[in-house]
Amino acid sequence: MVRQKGEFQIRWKTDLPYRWAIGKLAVKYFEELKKRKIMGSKCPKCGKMYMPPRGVCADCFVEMTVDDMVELSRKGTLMGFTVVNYPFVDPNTGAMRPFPYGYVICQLDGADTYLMHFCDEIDHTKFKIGQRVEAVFCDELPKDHESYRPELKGDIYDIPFIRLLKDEEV
Amino acid sequence: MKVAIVGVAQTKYESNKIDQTYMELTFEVVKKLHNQLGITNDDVGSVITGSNDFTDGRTIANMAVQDGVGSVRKSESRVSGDGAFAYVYAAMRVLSQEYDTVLVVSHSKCSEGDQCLINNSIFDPFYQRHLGLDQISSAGLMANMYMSKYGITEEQAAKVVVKNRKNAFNNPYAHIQKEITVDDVLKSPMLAYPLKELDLPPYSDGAVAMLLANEETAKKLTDTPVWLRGYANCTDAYYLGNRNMTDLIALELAAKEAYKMAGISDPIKDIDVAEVSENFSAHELMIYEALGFCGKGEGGKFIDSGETQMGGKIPVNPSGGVLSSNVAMANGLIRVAEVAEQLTGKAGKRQIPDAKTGLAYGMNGICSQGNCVLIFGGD
Repeated sequence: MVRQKGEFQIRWKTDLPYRWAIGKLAVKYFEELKKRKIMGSKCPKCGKMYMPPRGVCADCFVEMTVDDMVELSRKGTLMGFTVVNYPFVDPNTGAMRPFPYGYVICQLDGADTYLMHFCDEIDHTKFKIGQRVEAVFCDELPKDHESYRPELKGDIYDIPFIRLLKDEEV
Repeated sequence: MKVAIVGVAQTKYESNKIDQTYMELTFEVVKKLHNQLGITNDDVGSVITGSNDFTDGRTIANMAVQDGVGSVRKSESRVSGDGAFAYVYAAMRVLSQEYDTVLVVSHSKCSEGDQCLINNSIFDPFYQRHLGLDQISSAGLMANMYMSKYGITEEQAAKVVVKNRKNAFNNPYAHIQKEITVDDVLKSPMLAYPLKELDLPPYSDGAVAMLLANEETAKKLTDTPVWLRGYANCTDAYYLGNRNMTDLIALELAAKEAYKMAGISDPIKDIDVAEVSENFSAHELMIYEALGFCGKGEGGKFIDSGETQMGGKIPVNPSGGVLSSNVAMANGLIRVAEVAEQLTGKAGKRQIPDAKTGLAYGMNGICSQGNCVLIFGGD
């Protein structure tokens, strides 16, 4: 917060720690992600495929378990996008995040729901709704890429972003 | 059983209200309301407040406003969410016949916190929160998907801002009172494509209060009661990827139910004025469609027609709306207060002549997750 002229301030900083349970489906999701597999959960009643996996199908009000998890394609279709062009405090680090950066909302092949993720494209004129996209794994990137990691760790940064596929790659 | 709004009070909306705590803001409007109605705190049967813990920076944040709203050693409860839902809670208390009068108050000092971080905390911390999604970037995604699907132009979206800003000029409570042009909107800095700085609302501080009463008490307190005629709420999926993002389906369902209760068959004809919570320019176009003011995908054409302007068939947001005063979490109750002002003929320069039936739309959550539609009628 910017200090206003003549304003009296009391400042302090407090950590507010949590140890959130992520649930069995998310554990399985990250375990499989480490093996380069992207998992969704399929409703045993209506067959709707949730990606990311969820524990309940809201349409049927039916539970989904790790046994209902199915591997999905790393490729999909672009449903929407935006390019963030304002200063933002990174919730992971508390530091300012460099901008601009791209967000996409896409439907992986086999999924019925959409996934939101970063995209390495930052020019909004380059996106085309309906085009093909692909999840990128961190160890496939050039070694000098900021998101490169030599191995998968089973966390969200195993897939640092979604990339737009060029026509000749489809 | 009937429930009436017998009086409303609002603060001026502005950012950085550093001379008042949020408790003092609530006191300002409640005291104003008491004086207006010639009542004291003893005439208030129960108190309902609406606010958000993360914005206030305290848990069970209603506990911190008890002095200001007059609920110490009194029946009190609270909605953690938009003020429109607080109105519903208060109306239910009157309809239960347990209380003759219920005070409902909603406040926010959203300019005091980092709204991007506060809204980011809506998202689950496993799959989404680390992405940094917030109210602006998720609005960018929704606007992009809606506008692409239906061929809505950035100019059409900008017209919403121009209209609401023009209306705000007539509202003494409005935060931003500066007329702008479509060109100003289009040339403002791009924040989250296709949304530019002026497609998005400011961050405003303020409070709003109203007194609800049963029929018998209402007659003693006012000559111009405003009656609740229809109500419905409907919530969409939590996870954005589980919604279609191009249509406000939950709002559509809520509107249908509220219209049915109020006996509204043709909203354009039957409703004289609408106050809606539009969180970004194109959002208001999506709201037109969901409320049945026009067909699906026709929001752009509908703003072009001018029918939602002050002289149109269905003026939307004569107050200037959220794009002019964004008191996040109080916005819905402000919509109700503005409709009440319209139906009692007290809306001053923003008055819609002869307004008899009004609609208020409040929402909370990211991209219209929780939706509350209220239909009011004057005597």
